[in-house]
Amino acid sequence: MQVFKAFIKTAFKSFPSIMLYFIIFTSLALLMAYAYTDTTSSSFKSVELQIGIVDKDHSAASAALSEYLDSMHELISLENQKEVLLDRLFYRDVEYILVIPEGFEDNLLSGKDTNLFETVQIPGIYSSAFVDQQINSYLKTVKLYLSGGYSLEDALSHSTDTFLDTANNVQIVNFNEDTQHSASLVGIFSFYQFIPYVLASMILCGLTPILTTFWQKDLAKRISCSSTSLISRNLQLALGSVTYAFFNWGLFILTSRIFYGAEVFSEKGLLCILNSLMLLPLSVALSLIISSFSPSWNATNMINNILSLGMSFICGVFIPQSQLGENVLAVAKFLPFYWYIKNNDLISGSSDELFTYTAYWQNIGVQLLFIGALFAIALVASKMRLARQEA
Amino acid sequence: MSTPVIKIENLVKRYSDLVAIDHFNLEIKDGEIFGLLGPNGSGKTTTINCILSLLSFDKGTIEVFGKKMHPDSYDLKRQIGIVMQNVAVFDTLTVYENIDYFCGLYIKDKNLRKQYVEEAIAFVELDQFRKFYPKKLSGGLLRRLNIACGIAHKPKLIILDEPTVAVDPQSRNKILEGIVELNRQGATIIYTSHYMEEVEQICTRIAIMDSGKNIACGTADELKQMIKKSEKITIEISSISDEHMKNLLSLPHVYDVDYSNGQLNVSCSGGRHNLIHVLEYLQQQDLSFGRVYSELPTLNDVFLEVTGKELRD
Repeated sequence: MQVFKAFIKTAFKSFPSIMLYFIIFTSLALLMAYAYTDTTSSSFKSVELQIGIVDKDHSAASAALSEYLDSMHELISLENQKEVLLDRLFYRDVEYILVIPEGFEDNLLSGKDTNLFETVQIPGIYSSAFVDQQINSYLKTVKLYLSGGYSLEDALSHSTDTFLDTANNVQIVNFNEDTQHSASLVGIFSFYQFIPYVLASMILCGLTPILTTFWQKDLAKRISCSSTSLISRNLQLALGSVTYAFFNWGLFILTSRIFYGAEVFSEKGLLCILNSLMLLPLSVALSLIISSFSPSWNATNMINNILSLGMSFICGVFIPQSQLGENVLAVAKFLPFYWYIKNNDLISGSSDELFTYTAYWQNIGVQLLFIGALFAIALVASKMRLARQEA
Repeated sequence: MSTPVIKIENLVKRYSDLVAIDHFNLEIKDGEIFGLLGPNGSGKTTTINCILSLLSFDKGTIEVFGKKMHPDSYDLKRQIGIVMQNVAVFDTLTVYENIDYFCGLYIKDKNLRKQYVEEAIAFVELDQFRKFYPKKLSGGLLRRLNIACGIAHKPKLIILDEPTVAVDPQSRNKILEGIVELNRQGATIIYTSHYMEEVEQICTRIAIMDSGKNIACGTADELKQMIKKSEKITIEISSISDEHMKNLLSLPHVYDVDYSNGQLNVSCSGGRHNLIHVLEYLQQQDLSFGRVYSELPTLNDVFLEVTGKELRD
């Protein structure tokens, strides 16, 4: 086991710098995970806007509409002067102005659909659309009652009651029961969301220089002259790489156990752990490919940053996949981190998809395909290295 | 007749259009210190790489201890120690750890390995540096570490590929003494170098290589006897006429006379007392002269005569 022992000794020499990586990035990951834990929605409060109203109709219908809006927003009665209206909007005294024109009630009774009211809005404010939608819904309901033979008074009264009931009885219903998680489980999901970058960085930065050393032309030639067989040497190198990768992975499992308790080993936690296990062969394969080109320490760091940081940004490690553009996601699908994050989202319930074991194993399968492909590339790169060294 | 340690027949190695080894033949006997002498690029290292199966070759056969050498001939490799031209050690391991590592590639028994490593450290006199990392060692000490890594497992055949390149004279002498000692302890040595003095100093037999060919082989004396020149006389003299030079050329055993930069060079082939004859002539002609040197032929002269170029070209 000489090769293995030398591998471990060499790995041990880079231990301080790797630990620095671990401490800095794990602290960041924990911090981010902590921040995410507080964002779970468990209550509802509707948005309350300041709405300016100009009632030119002074009818029962306009009064009912005002009453309805007043129940949800702060209503401010305004003079019908264009300059005043624009000033109030400009200084943000109001965020939305509703102008109820003369004949509003008549138009409503006659079943007119368009131009029932006018609005003045601040451009680009989404809450304006929200008020538009509330007014339209209300008026549609009134018209529905009217068409059903109700008197205007009854139609207005029923509509107001219906909407006030709805607004006061909002309940948050999550259709995916699996997404109701404890704080520590939410922390676990967030923690495992961030580890691809750190774990890949640690493995790439630690393993690549070791493999580069063993494959350095003169040393490789010298070792080839020995009576230890090629198979034995390669097996020992493989064992060293696996041990190194598992050691790094173990550090993360241990950290998550320390910070999130036994829940790490709950069903969801174990699914996250198993998913993160895919990062090991993936990083080892990448390391094998990089080291085949015998890069310098600086080049190794540069390649590591491009790969791990680039993949992390594109695939949703730092920014949730739901907030990434379609084009970015289309590219990300060709990268293994995408499927890791997709699976993590699936387990945590933050995915559009409902959690099923089939979907989970499919994502694991895709990651395994990537791993297989990367090992095949590593094999080709290794052959190229040998050919270069013999030339 | 005992089996040769190494037998190479008709070895040919090509790199595309370049013929690196050209129908090379060689036989090395047990107990020899065999020198492979040749300028840089003459094919010495390529030959060594072929012997060790580090390189495939296009034609010919190589036998080591009577068996054909293959990349997986691990029983043969067990008996070979190699000291590469470029120092091949781990920067991340100490002197002791490096020697232990390379020794461990051959010796599985822990206790025996420990003993061998200690002996190797003592042999190359690196005891006080055992905990040093290679980057802290001077060039000479690094070369000695390289040698220790190659010989720690006590091989029967030791191949040293230019082990004294870029080494100070003190370390060079230690290395050469060490090689002779290893041979005394029973190891057959193959020593490649482009330093003819070293090869002449320690090797019992020498093969001179050029352009991948074995152009001459034998002991240093045998090689020198192969050439015409047996003595070169150099005399500092302010001027000499063509007539005197003609007269000198007619002296017995003198075959070349040449004058340049105030030095008269007289080349003799065979014969004895050539120097006395030349000096007698100069005195008789009342020609005053300064310092006088007489040199026996070197391997460089052999190389020069056989190839038409200097060994150090």
